[in-house]
Amino acid sequence: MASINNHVQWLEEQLKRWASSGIIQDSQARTIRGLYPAQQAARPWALIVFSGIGSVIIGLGVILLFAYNWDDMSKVAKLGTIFSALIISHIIGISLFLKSERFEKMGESLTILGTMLFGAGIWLIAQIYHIEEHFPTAFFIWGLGALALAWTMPSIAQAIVAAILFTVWVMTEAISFDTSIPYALVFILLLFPLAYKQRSSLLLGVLLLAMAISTIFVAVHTAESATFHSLLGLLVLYVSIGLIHQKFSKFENFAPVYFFIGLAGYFLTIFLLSFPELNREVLKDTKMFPNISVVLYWLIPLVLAIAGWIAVSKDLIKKTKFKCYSHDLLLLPLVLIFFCCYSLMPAKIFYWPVTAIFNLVFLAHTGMLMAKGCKEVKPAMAMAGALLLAALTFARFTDLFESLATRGVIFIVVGIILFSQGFFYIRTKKRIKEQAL
Amino acid sequence: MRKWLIIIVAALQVAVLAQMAGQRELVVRNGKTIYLRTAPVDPRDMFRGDYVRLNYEISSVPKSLLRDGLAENKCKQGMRVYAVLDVNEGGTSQLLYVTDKKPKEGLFIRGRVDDHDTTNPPIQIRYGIEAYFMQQGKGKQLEQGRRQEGIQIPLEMELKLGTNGIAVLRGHRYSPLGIGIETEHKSSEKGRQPATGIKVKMLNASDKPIAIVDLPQGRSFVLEPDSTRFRANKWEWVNQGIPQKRIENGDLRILQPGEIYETYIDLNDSYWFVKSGSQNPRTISGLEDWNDSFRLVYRPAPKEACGHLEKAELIWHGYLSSRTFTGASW
Repeated sequence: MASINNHVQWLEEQLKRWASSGIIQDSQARTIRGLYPAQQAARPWALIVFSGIGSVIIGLGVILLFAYNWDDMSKVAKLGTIFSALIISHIIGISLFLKSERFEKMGESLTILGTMLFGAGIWLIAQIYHIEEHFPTAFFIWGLGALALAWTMPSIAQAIVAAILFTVWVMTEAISFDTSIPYALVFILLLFPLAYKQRSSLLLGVLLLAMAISTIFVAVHTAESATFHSLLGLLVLYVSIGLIHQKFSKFENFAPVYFFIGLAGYFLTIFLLSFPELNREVLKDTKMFPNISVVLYWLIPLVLAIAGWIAVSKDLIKKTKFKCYSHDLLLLPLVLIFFCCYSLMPAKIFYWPVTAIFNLVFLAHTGMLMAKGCKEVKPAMAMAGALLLAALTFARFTDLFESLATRGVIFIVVGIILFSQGFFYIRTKKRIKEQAL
Repeated sequence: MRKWLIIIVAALQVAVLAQMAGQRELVVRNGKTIYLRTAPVDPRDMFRGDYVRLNYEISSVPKSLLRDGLAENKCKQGMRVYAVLDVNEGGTSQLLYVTDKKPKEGLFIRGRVDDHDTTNPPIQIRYGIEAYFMQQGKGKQLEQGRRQEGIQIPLEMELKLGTNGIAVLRGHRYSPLGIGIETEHKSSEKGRQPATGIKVKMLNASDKPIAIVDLPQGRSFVLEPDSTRFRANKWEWVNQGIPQKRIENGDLRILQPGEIYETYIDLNDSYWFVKSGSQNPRTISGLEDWNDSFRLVYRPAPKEACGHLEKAELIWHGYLSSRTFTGASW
């Protein structure tokens, strides 16, 4: 919305200049202006961001303030403070939220403060009564409080807080207690419909990250050898959902979110698997069928990802134009299938024969990003391709070429490729400009 | 409708906190006060400030004290268990046994199995009372504990215990008596030094005179194999379970506040020998396996067995355990 407003503002300024310079008549200026939508009222983003962050920081401050645990402050005073602060912030917050649209965001921020105080209260009561129970459960209860408010209000900020808390819950269970909480993913999934209902790309991005991080921590404990399979399946699924979303104008703005998080995670995973030692470590003792839960960990993301790609395959065959698409993306489901099938093989060949495949796949994506970035004059894409190529070159510096002469030649070749990319990018940009004129 | 839903959800947040606090407050008001021996470990928590981590004597449970399903190797990490306690004459509570069945009556704390290896008893249990929160800066003082001339004065945590096994920490106190030991070694080949004897010290850390039982050659103490290591201790003291001799007035020693009592235990005296299965009794001197560790426990005769003594009212009837020691060092 901000971007459209900027364009409309620019157009209005230009029309005034042209009219005052006599290039066009006032009536013509009005006609041109009428072709474009009116400026939409901007949402108070500064208020939302600053008051939201402020609420979170105040909440953390309260937690730390009570963490000091004054001997001089009685139990009743401590409990009274936390209960009254929680009740007051919720009463004022909810009243403002329901009063009018003008105060809605301010009210939402105060309810965020209330949720932070709810969390502070859990820790404070544990402190007062010296409770040392299973502490990750506190993050879960805290998250449930935020989840319930996120849906009833509805509130994107509460949903983001809930997603972060559920992720911290999964992480602390895995790190501190070596336990896996698979059903934690359900609580994160419960927030997805809210992201769609509210059309919030920000919430969607947070949820996709929360799902990916939680999947790692859930899988790493119970299905250690299938962690990469689960993650890769999930990321390939994200990209396929991104493609599907491009077919529906209603959720078109969600496609880049799925693409960015899916592809960033996918590139990182493939990059890690391009290291022979890590690749061997991941694949050497892969037990894909030790029990039903491990099978579900890698099979569910695999089936969903493949289903997602089958769903878009019809459009790809029909050569339907997608805004975000390049042919190298077809490698994603193929890599996933190869990775899972290879893990199922009874005897495996390690080191370079299999690692080379991941290196070549990574190189193919890199080349495609660089080429597409140059062809379509997309600097971010061209830059991403160049950075990934440089990363791969440095990664292989130590483990592929022992001879300094070979290393030197490789660096020179990669350098020439990057220079050529820069040259082609500038030439294409110039040509497009000339054509436009 | 939406308005009421939001209000209900916000009220639920308040209710969750009220339930947390209320459940504990009920235990504080109506629960029975007990004391548990502990050793403080280390402080600090990011969200909750300073706290002292507590390691209770009842946290590590040897296999011999497991009952019901636990005795049948049905022990799993995170499993709910109940530690049944008894209060001794010194006012501290001791573990009778741990079971997976909730006792219908009596003194018990609920906990969860924290760490369990089916091949290596003992099991570790968390009771949810392992953290003692204090004002920032004060945790370190408690962690350092009270120690004087190598004598450790045991820390005893005050708890309120509800009928459902929920325990709430209320405070702490120090035992009126402290104990310290120094093992004496004989220099030997290749730096290995078998222990020959143990110098035992007891300190009256209270502000009142205390009478202790002083039998010759340290025989007011008993030798207990330590069963809280990674592997079960196979040794048993030869005088295990044999009742102490009748105490006479001359066996009592009055310790004034701050006074230290010293005695010496000769490990080559056959009274202190240990045995394992059908093996001949032997001295613990030279036993070098880290798992074969022992402790000396001061446990005077019960109150009713001391009624005939002139200063019976001054006798402290609690128990004191020394730190563990092995039969050799390097």
